[in-house]
Formats: sequence, structure tokens, C-alpha cells
Amino acid sequence: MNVVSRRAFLVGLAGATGFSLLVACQQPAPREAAPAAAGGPPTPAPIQPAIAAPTVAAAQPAAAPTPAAVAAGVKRGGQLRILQTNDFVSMDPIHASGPTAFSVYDWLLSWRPDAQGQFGVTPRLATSWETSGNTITFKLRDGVKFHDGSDVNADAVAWNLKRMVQNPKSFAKNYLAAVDANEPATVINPLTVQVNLTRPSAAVLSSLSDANGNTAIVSKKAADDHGEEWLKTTAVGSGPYKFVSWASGDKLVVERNERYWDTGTDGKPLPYTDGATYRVIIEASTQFNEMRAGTADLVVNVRGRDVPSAKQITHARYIESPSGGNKRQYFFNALRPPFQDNLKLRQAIHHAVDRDAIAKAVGGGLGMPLPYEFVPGAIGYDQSVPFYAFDLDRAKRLVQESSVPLPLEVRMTVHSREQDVQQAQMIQQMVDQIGVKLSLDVVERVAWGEKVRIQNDFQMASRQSGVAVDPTDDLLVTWAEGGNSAYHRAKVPGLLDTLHKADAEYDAAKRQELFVQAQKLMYESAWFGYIWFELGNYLVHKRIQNFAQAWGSNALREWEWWINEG
Amino acid sequence: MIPVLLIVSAIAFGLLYVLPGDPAVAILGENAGNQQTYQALRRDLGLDQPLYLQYLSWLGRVVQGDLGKSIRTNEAVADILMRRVPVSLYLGVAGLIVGVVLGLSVAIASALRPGSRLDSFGTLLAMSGIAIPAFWQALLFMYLFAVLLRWLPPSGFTSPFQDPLLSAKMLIMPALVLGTHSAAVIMRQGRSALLEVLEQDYITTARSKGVREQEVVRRHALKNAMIPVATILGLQIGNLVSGAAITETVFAIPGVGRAAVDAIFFRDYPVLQGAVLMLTAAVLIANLLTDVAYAYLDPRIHYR
Amino acid sequence: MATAISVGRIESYAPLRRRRRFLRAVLETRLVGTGLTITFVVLVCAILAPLLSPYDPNVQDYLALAEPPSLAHPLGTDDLGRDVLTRIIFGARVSLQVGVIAVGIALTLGVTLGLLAGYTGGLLDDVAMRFIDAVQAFPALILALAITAALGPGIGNAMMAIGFVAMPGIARLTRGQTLATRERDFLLSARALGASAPRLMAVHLLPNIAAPVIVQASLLMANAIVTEASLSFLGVGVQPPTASWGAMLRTGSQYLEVAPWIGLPSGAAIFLTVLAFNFVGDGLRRALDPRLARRRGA
Repeated sequence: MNVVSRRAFLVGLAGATGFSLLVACQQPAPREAAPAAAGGPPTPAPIQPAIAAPTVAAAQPAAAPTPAAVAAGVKRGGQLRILQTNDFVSMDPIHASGPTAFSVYDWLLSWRPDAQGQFGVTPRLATSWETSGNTITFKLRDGVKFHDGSDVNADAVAWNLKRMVQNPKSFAKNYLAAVDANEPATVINPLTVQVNLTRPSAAVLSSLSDANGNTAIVSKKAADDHGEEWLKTTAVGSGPYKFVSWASGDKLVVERNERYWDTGTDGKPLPYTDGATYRVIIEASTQFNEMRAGTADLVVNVRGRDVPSAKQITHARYIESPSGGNKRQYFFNALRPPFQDNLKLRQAIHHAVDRDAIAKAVGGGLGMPLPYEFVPGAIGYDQSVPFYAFDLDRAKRLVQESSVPLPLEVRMTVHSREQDVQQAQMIQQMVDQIGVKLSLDVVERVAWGEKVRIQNDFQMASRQSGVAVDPTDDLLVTWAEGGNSAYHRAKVPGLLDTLHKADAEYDAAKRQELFVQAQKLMYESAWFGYIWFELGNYLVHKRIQNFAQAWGSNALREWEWWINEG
Repeated sequence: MIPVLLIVSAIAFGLLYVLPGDPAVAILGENAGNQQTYQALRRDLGLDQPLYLQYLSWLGRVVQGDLGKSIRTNEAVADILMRRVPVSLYLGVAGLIVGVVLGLSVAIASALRPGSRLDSFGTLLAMSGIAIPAFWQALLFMYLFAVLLRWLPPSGFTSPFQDPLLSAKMLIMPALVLGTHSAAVIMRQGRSALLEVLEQDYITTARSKGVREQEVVRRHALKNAMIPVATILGLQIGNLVSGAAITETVFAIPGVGRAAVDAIFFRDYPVLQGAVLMLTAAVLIANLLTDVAYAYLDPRIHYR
Repeated sequence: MATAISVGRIESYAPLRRRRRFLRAVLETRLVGTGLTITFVVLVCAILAPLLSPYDPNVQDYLALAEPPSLAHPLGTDDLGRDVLTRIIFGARVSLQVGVIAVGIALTLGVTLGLLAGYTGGLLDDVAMRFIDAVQAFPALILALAITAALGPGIGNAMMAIGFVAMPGIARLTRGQTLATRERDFLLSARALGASAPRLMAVHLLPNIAAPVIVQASLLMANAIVTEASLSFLGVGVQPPTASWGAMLRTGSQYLEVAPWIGLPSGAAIFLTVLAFNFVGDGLRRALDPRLARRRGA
């Protein structure tokens, strides 16, 4: 059947990408002499991003226009029409638990793939940076202004960092855990700002890049003039587009920023297009139909079952996005029976789950079975990590050894998302074969949150998670004890230490080793069931030129696209 | 009207708090696992107060004209409603027109030839409107008209003041979905009312006087049959207005119904209260107008 | 037309003639006949589901995902490899359950409230009417959604929500009939003879209001089935893996182009059943309406 060969192709492609990325990851990062801290303890080698900080020359905007560049076919003008499934929650990035007005803002850094396809930090508002001990010093680009005319300077950036870390409702602080909450940033001079850490952290750089929607740089003047509450409904940044209007549940409209600092290949400031509209359409079929009718330029994450049809659309291109996908997992509650204190029972369930079948049934052509925490191609992915394979006999044996009375009644708290509901029904049938009677509680988002996050009132629950930019912060938040999203509330001895070590480690190879170690501990504790990975994708109208692979749907580079109706 | 609105708002408030979770859980999302943050936010939002106090303080603000701010987005509820009410009205009126036109035409055709195949077929067709769940009908229409035939845009809303043609095109499918539902009820009521009227003595008299059939129907029968239909219309507006949420979801129309549904899922009580008040007020006003119409149509004008 | 004359022979035929007239009234149109047939089929499916179905409704076959209709699976398989025909047959059970229980709740609440309000009058009537007005004016789907979400997952909760939302119509109807019947002679004489209020309500009032209420109930049943589908679409209601037509339709709507056999049968089932209940209800109304009966020739 078609599905089988497509899946094999995908797995092969992912494997090939993964292998090449892994090889690239293994190369030691280039080192640079570090300025010695006066009188302090011996400083570790400086943190280097996966892509070395470019020299000042390279950080300047692209060279002056040549007739050849203009003739390369860049066309200016036009309006972009982008669709999205989740509504914007806030125009203020630190409060954005979902999409925000990404193209209205700039970040300190960009998260871009290099020529080999490996993602890493590159300059954006920061032209260069230096790490030394517990500080990272950023040099800011000169002459950049916010849309309200105020300067993007160290004062503004320091204020931003402060609110990212100190505002109690900020979502940014989860991923800036290593930043000193008391004194997050120090202004050295108007174009130099120093970020202070409590411990060395390789993850902070990627957290400050545009892959993390919460760390965008907002105009301080706007907050001073109108109050911070106002920022929730109006976006004032320094980005390529300016905020025009936002109607919640409907659409966001932005227009070109005439004075953007970055220039196109024709020498004029970016963006090439005049503006963009982001329409919120919740119903997946409707989104897909809009794309087919030609009334939309971009749709993200078309469903697996629609992919064959998507590829048939003559006026659109289908592009796969490994970073835009979703990992699908389930986990147990470590504080309640029956999984509390019963390792064998947990393992039995893991062995009873047929990941291939679920990936195929629920993901269609986009589903890849994934028994690991990390996806192929991401940092931390390693085939030497042990995993639970589908083995019904072993499962039956383990459930006997776990000495639970059979048949065992278990409740699974399931989010009402379509994929979660489908895979839960499959798991229900699978564990029935080993004597576990799973009953499903399908609840909507907030009810799920109340039960699982607040009340800890669950035995087994399903979850979905995106592909993290950096594994340490992600695991510290979602897995290790004390993490805000570690709802399973398990204490795995040694895991926290290992993760902190990995965060403080700059050598990519050593980091990888530590991640493998962490995963081994996670595997042995058996609290999480890794099932499958749903690949992400883009469906792009053919009139859009220069679309490049981005990290998920956050770091789209709309301002580098131009429209060519011909 | 006021007591009803009060009870409605109390029901809405009560419901929202019976729902598991609260706005704090909704806002915090992944961060909700942190007890301190969660409790702090609950205090911030006033959620730790007893329920009746929260309701009364909300009510106090409302009577002063302050509908509050969306807990989710921080927009003023009044702004949200001002944006969405015209859209829902536009859609609702279009749906009602479709319903009346479809429903009445079938009702008249059927009533004039009761028991015939035309009657059966017409009844069957008109009743289909309530036998197909709205989302299914909407998706089928979208597939047919927007994907296969490519006559209409798949979804969306444009103001008629901005682009009348596009606005009309975008209105057709949702109005059809809403309209076919009310057409069924209007047809059923209209047909039976008309049948009853047509058997009255004064109709027979008119016919025997030689008045043309068309005249008989139009001048004498219809006006009287409209009375029970007018009663139904009032109720239909209620259904149109509250049932539009699903149509709005599928066709991505930013109306009040969808806002209410979203507010439930996000526990955004200011928005839900505002939306429910609007929707309820619309129904009550429609009922009022129906009563007025009833009085107007009442047979002072006719033989009785 | 012949009326019952007090001559022994003819009198004994009167009940038979009434019954026949009743049946004839119900079956007046061909639509009602079809409606009854469909209702009968649905009932049979619901009762005899395990006997009629080729498969178990919840057994997933991972080697036969979303397969088009074939000899092995006459209506194909759904997204998890379950036989669609089986699930449609079992779905009849769930849909009827939803209808019956929702209507039961609506009747219980509505009739009680209506009777009390209509009979007692005064302040109780005023308060009850305001409450009924409020529930009726409240946007119906929103109310059903909120109640279902509040009560938690499960089909029972969806039924309670639907029943509650339908209650005002029944209450109004009951109250109206009660008011109309309250001052009738037979009731006044019963009261004069010392009958207690509950007895009056149960024995004398109820039978008189039964007719229109029964008609309304059949329409409500139809409505309940559609509302269950709408609630499934919004994400609340019947819990998987229960095979309800509404849940199947929701899934089917997401596979409309890729696997239309998942949605079309359940859509058709809902369509036919709802129409059937409506036509039967209409037929009942025609038969039970005293005015029409009189005209037909008593």
C-alpha cells in the first residue's frame, strides 16, 4: 500500500538527515581565547554557539546593490496571506503561550540553518557576542529603531531581559532558567549589554533566538508611554513589519516597516512585500480548502491524510519540516497508584504499545514511530539509547511479575485533540491484550490542565510536544523533578545533575554523551511512553519566492519572501 | 426583560465556575504546574473570592457600563462585541431571509396541494434542513461549492462596505446552512397553519364568490396563516443566533457565537458573559418584535 | 356522519372505529408511513445489534485502516480499522439512548415545572416562568456545551445537558395546557368532590396534556440526535470508543475526501432517523389534534 512505502521513505530521509546532522554535531566547536575574569575561579572555556560568532564585517547588511542582483528577479510589493490554526493570545511576547506577532519583532539572535542544514544561532539585533564565565556580552547593531522611533539600545534590551525573567507570568523565564533573576542584565554602554547567569548555560543563546517566541525585544518607550498592559493588544517592536491591527479570533494585519535595518539583494530595506495578514482558521479542512482555492499563501502542518492531495495542488509547493512536527507521548503519575512504585507495570505497558501501528494509523504518511525523547536530527538523538520495543510476550510476563490484580482498571486522561483521541483508543485495545482495562477520559484543554497539572488527579495521561530547540531547558522544564511541566512528578536520581552538567558543557560531543546518559536514566525509570512523531510541513503558494526552511512556525522569514504572480 | 437577563447572566456565571479548571489554568498553560504562580494568578484575577461576590462585583461594573476585559487577550469586551455583533447580525439576517423564502415557498406549494407527491417531496426537502447537523452540511457545501465547483470562496468574512461582491459570495454558504435549518421549522408551521386557514368558511366563501385562487391565497389565507408563523419566527431568531457558533467555526466567521464557545473553552468569563448577554438580548428583542407583529397581523383587518 | 348511538350493537363498534380513525389519521401521508418504517428499523438495530452485526464495534484492525467498502466490510472501515456497518448498527443503540434519556429528562423537569406553575399560579408561577424564559432565551448550543463540559466526559452528561436545554418548551406547553384545563367542568367537579392537588394533577390533568407533549417529545428526540452530533463536533460528549452516530460523523467530517464512507453512512443514518421521528410526530399531531379530529368526522 502507498502508506507503507511513504513511511519507509520518510524514515529513510529522516535517518539520512539525522545521520548527517549527527556527524556535523560531533565536530568540536572552534575555540577562542577568553578574557580572564579578574581574580575569579578558573573560567571554563567560552560557550561557542554551534555556528561561530561571525566577524563584524559579516554582520553588516548585505553589500550595495548590483544590477545583477536586481535582475535576479526580486519583485517588491504585494500582501502575504498566512493562515494559522491557533489564535494569538497576546501581542506581548512574554505572555504569548501561543503565536504572537512574530514579524513585528526582532530578537537578539536568529535561529537559522547553515549550508549543511544544521540549525544554530546567528546575529540579528546582536551583531556579536562573547561568553566568559557566567556572563554573555552582546554587542548591539547600531542605528536600529523601534517602530515608535525610540532606539534599540542596551537600556531597552536590558529592560526586556529583566521583564522576561522577573515578570511572574512570563513564559520566557522557563527557558532562561540560568539567567540571574536578581540582576538579569547590565548595561555596559549604549550598544553593549551583558547578560548575567547563575551558571554557565549553552541553552541561553538559543533561548534568546527567534526560535523562542517569548524572547522578542519590545519597545521600552511604548511600555513607558502606555503601560505594560497596553502591550498585550498592540505590538511595538523593531521588526520588518509594523503592527496595524489585531482582532482576536480573526486576524492580525501588519504592514511593511520602511526603515528596517536589514536589506534585500536589491539593496533596499527588507521586507519585499507591502504587508501580511495572518488569519486564524481553527478547522483544518477549511484551512486546506483555502489553500486549494488559492486564497492563501501559507498553511503549516497539513494533516497526514491530506498530504497526497496537497502534493497534487498545482499552485502550491509541499515542503517537509522536521522541526515543525509534534512528538506524541504518554506518561504515568508517580504520586498515585497503580503506577507509583511499580516499575514492572510501567514497563509492561511500554512493551504492549505497537508504535508502528499508531504512527501509521494516526499520522498517515506523516507518522514516524519514535521510541526516544528526541527526534532524528535534533541534539540528543542517539541510536545507542535503549528503548522499549513492541513485545507482547515480554509485556505479558512483566505484568505478571508486577503482581497487580488482573484485570487491572486504569483511567487514561486524554486531551480532546483528534490525534490524542485516536491513539488513546489504539492503546486501549493494545493493553487490553495484557489484562489492563483502560478507560478513556477525553477532556478539553482546560479540564485536562486542571486534572493533570493542578490536581495531579490522573493515573495515565497523553501529551503532545514540539521539537525543542535545546534539550536541556526542555527536559528541565518537562521531565526532571521540579520542572513546571513535569506533571508525572517523578524523582529520578541523577537526572537533574546530568542535565545541569549537560547545560554547562560547551563541547558538543561531551554534551551528547551527557544527553545519552540522561536518556538512559529516563528509560530505566519508565515514566514516559514515547510513541511517535508527527512530521511537520508547509504548504506554500507557488507565487511565494525564496521560502526557506525555518524552525517550526515561529521563525518564518516572511520578510525575505517576495511575490511573483507570473 | 431585565429579570430574564439577570437570571441568564447568573446561569452563565455559575456554569463557568462549575466547569473544571479556571481562567488561571487556561492562561498559564504549560506553567500551570507551578503552584505559586497558579495561586498568585488566582488572587490577581479575584478567583479566590466566594462566587457570589465575584458575580456581584461583575454585575456592579456592568450596570455602570463596564463590561470588563477579556481575561485571555486583555481586549475590552465591549470592543470585542462591537466587532462581532454586526457580523453575527449580518449572518443571522441573511439566514433568516433564506429560511423565510425557502420555508414559505414550500409551505404554500405544499398547502395548495396537500397529500400530493409535490407536497411529500417539498416537505421532505424542507425538513432536511433539521436532519443534517450544521457542521456536516457546512463541510459538504464547502466541498461542493468551493473545492469541486470553485464558485465560492471557502471561508471568511468581509464587510459589505468594503467589498460588496466578495462579502455576498462569502455569505452564501453560511446563510444556506443557517437558513435551511429555519426553513424546515417555518415550512412545517406555515404549511399546517395555511392548511387550517384554507379550510375555513370565509375562504370557501371567497372562492365561491369567484375570487381568483391567487387572490384568495394572497389576500385572505396568507395573512391569517402568518400569525402562527410569526410566532415561530421569533423562536427561530433565537436558534439562528445561538446555533451559528458551529457555522462560524467551519466558515471562519468572527461572530458572537464562536466567541462564546471560545470563551467557554478558555474560561474567559467576561467575554462569555458579554456574549451571552448579547445573544439573549437579541432573542428577547426578537420575541418582542414578534409580539408586535402578532398584534399587527391579528385579524382586526379580517372577517373575524 | 355516524355518531355513537346508544343502540347496543353500534355502541360496541365505536371504540374500534375511533381506533381505526386514529390510525388512518396518523398514516394520512405516505411520509408518516415511511417514518414509521424507519423508526422500526432503527429500533430493531438498537435491540438486536449484536445479532445483526458482522463484527465487534470496537475491534480495531490495523491492517485494514480506512478501507473502502468491500465484501468483507460492506460499508468499509473507519480510521482505526473498525467495521463501519457494525458501528452504525450499534450506533442506533446509542442514539436512541441519547434521545430517550434526553427527552425523559426534559419531560420530567418540564412537565413537573409546568404543572406546578400552571396549577398553583401566583408567585410560584411568576418565578417559574422567569426561570423558564431565561433558560429558553439562553443560546441553546452554548448552554448544552457548557453543561456537558461542566459535568465531565460521558454520554450521560451530554444527555442531561440536552434534556435540560429542551425543558422550557415542554414546561411552557404543559403550563399552557394546565391553564386551559384548570377551569374545565370536570376538574372543578373533581375538586369539589375533595380530590387532592396531586391526584388532580396526575389523574385528571396529565392525560389532557399528554397529547401535545407526546408530539413535542418525538420532535425533541429527533433534535437530541442532531445536538449530540454538534456537541461531538465541538469536542464534548460521547466518550470514545463508543460508537455514536454523532461521533462517527465528526470523525467522518475530518476524512470527507479521503474516506467518505466513514461519514456518509452516519450522516445518512442521522438524516433518516431524524426525518422519521419528525414525520411520525407530525402524524401523531394530526391524529391527536381535537380540532382536526372533529373535522374528520366525529
